[in-house]
Amino acid sequence: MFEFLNKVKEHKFSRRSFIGAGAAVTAGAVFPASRNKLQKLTAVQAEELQSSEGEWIPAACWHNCGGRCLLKAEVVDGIVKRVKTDDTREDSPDNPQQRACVRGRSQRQQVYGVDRLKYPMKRKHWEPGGGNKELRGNDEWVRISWDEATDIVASEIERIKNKYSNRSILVTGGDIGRALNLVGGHVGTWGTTSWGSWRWGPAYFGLQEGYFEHSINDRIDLRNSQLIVLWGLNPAWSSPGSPTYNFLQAKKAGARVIVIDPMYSESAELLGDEWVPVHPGTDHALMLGMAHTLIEEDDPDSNPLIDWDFLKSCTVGFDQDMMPEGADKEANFKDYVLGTHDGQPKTAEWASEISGVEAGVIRRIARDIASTNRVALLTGWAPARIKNSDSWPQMFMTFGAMTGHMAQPGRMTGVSCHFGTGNGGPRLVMGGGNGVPPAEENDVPDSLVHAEMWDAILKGEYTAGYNDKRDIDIQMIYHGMGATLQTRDGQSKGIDVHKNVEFVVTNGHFITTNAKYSDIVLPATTPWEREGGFNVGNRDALFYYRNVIDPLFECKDDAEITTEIGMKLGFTAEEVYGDVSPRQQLFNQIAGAQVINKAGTDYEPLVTITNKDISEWGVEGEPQKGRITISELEEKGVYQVERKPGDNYGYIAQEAFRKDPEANPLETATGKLEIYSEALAEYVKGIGFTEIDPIPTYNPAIEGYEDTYKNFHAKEKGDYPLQVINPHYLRRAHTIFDNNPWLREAWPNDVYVSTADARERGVKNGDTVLVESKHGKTLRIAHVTERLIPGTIGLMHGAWVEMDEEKDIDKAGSDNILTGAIATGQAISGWNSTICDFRKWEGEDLKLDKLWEPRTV
Amino acid sequence: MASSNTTIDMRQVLSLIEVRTHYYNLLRQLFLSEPTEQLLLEIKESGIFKELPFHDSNPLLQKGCRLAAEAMDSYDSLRKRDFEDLHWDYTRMFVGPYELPAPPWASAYSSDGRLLFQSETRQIRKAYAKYGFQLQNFGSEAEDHIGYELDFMYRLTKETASLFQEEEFGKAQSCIRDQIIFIEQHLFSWIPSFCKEMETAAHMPFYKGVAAVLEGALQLDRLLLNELSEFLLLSVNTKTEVTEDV
Repeated sequence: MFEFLNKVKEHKFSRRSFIGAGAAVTAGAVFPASRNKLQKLTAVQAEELQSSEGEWIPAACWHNCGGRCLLKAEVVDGIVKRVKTDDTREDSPDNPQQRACVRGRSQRQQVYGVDRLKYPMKRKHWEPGGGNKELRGNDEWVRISWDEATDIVASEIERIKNKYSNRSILVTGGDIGRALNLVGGHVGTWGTTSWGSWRWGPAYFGLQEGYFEHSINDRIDLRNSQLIVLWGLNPAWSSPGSPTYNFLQAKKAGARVIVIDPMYSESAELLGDEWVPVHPGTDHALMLGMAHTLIEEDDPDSNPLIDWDFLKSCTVGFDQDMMPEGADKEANFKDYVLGTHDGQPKTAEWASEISGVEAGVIRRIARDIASTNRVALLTGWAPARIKNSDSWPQMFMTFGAMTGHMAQPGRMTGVSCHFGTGNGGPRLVMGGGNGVPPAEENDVPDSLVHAEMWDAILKGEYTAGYNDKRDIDIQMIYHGMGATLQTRDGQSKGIDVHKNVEFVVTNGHFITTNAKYSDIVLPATTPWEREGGFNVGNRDALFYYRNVIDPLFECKDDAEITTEIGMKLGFTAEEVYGDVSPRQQLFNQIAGAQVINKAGTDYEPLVTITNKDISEWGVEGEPQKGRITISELEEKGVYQVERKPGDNYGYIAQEAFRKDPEANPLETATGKLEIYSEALAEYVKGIGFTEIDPIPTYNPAIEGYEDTYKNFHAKEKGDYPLQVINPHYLRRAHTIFDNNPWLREAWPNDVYVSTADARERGVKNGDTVLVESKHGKTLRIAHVTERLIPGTIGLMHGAWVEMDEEKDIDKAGSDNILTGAIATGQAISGWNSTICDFRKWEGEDLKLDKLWEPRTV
Repeated sequence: MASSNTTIDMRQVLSLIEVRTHYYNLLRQLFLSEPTEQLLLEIKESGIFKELPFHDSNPLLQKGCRLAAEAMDSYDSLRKRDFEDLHWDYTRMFVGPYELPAPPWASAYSSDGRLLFQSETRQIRKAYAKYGFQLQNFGSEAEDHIGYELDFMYRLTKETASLFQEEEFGKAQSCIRDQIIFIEQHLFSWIPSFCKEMETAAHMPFYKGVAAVLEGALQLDRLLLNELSEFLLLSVNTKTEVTEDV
């Protein structure tokens, strides 16, 4: 007993050793005074801490996932205990709950992730000019203060601007342009991103791109369709939330569903009556074969398959009699399909050889669509994320026009994707503006095309238009938001670029790919840590979110970061970002929120605001009358317009145009749907990469199906005999959540390979395989499945690259390690046209991602 | 009064508490933030790890002290590069920006999926509040960071010393009881996992040593607290004040 008390007495250790020698340590002299430590509370504060109760707060689920849902966080003592989703209404087919998917429900694991960026950090061997730039991605880091971080960023902006020019500063996203535009601007980036060739082309031939506006009818009308064709879309993965439910209602109402897709997707499983596997990027050829069938078999009297009335009244370019004035009559679509002038009829057999779909199936589907009264021809953007696919959207429109499945109840042709999945039409409810003044103009006109930019930066020359190459010397990259280095084509070259330029800075939540290859990382808040705002998704609902928790550690809002850098550049906060407080910004959005009126003819204010609200919020504003009170909005977090069949909120796309095309022309050159569109061809030509015809002729993709052959006609396979598609996968929303532990467990991120291809290569389910393209190599565990068309692998979109630099192999399954920087047409990022091979990996097996050690150096 | 403790006087008790203060003060400085050059120099020059009181009474502590001391001795002088290596080792393990191989928060070990701000964090917050402490960055930083937990224990050792000096034995007993609860329920719930991860993750032998010292020191302190508690029960005729669990 009392061993130690006795030893203390016996002085069995030297008192000097802990009182004397350690005096400086003991005295706390070396303890950094500025750092955080415990401080004394008052008794009242301590009491308050013991007594607080929980509250459910509407929390943002803000991701670019293709859906939108209600999320609520239970906050106790300022800490989120758990999350739930929409329980604000009874769930019904007409008015479904807006329930969150596995990702929304894992959001607490993101916001509170122990690996959040917490402090501004500097790459240790960075110095003005870059220091040892090769070390980017592998260097050590030092925590620095915000003051030092913003000093470095501002002084590098000044230095690079003076040594080179503003044309050497590249901004890939975010709002840092607000600061940079005050000192002369910056180079930007652009491209077709998720849309592929639906991005800009459709405006010229008369359909909508599918995100901002839709060419498809609303979800209640979808129930009028007898046949729904889902062409390259998988809403169960790509548009979580309520959209898939819309299709289920249509199916329950009697619609048959044909799914045309390289993969037997979850949507196909849930909805499909038939799955038609197709080689990626050959959809256009397949549809030409279908068009040929209709042209060949149509007889207006005995076998009417083509809607000639619709073609004549609403389109131009179908046959020689329908050509617009001044156009070469021989250059019409019908003669192209029949091969009248090029000697190649685009028969079902011709299409079969390219698409892999049997000619008999092609004919049957074509007849089925053409002879069914009410058909919805719906496509996602994935088949348009193909190099050289600029004519594909026009082809899709053309087939819709031939069959007349447009602009009437149960009949529609167009993009069903993202927020508009299975539910087209203008928003029924929307938030207001925040009142922040617009940024200064950017004085630098240069903007680099995503699919070309890494190559362009390495070469010092970019394509600015037709016959227009310009020099470029990028020395600074600011990643304000987004995941550019992860999500743009040709990642290997992107990494080279990041090891070459003089300065890279990233605002982020984690050590993402952008952040990893930076010199300075700045920790940003998530929307849970911000003042609040609105999120939109499907047209029926508007989601409101509030501040849930304090900013974690030293995280700052992007707006604050931009402001502080702007101030270091010599401007006032007001000059950078205006003087509208975050609270006022939120209030402005609420006050400006609008909802469709009962008649469906106009909008009216959504939220009732009283003088008491205004004074409680401490903001400026005017009282107004709306549908709900501020407190109801704050409590519920969602406003959803009640729908029922026959109400005033339905939408039939282009209805007025079809009824009277002369009185309601489209915004195309001819006012009609343009099967022949010189404007489209001119637009694509003007971008400066590849050219197309005014009619939708088939252009094989670069690195598409045909390129898997050394000799296509002899059917002799080449070095990269397989195609790669990048399905959007529920592990992630693009790249977000890739490090989320729950999602890593639920979605292992295997590469999907077909049984036939696996057998040929001696690969079994669960084997680690090396996937190789001419642009890079990646490792994954193989999921061997019958769900893919043989000849195609599914490498899921968005995994954060993890390079083994010695072997030059990524082990995370990064999709863009396999893609090249190859720009075509309207600046398409053609991720789904990539070719590869895979083989069993002879090295060490990959562990499941959920078992990975932390990514560190 | 029991015979076995008649030889123990208050001077010994205060010395023992001083030993505890010394441990927690050293440890909190090693964990609260990245090491300063001055701190490491002081540790090297003082040879503090060679002469930590009672370090040979616990195998982990003994091993840790040896590792840390040898690591410091291996530097002729603490050159800039040596300091940077040590500084980076701390940064890498506990600050970022890469994923943290040994996250220094209790919640990362007690909940599903390496999370900050969990129920553990809230309990720690309440433990601090009971003694009138809270973080300067309340709401933004998590209370269950090892540095704050050690800082808290450091402050309670000082509090214990004051209570003994003021002869507030009842309060001293409560305070000691709370420290035992804090160690048993909180620190012991995650420190073995944390120290194991730190020991594996550390590139620098010094920090491998510090990991062992931390775990060993807490085991030692649990015994020291027992002696103090026993001493009070046997020698001071006072009842423990009823107190809520920490």
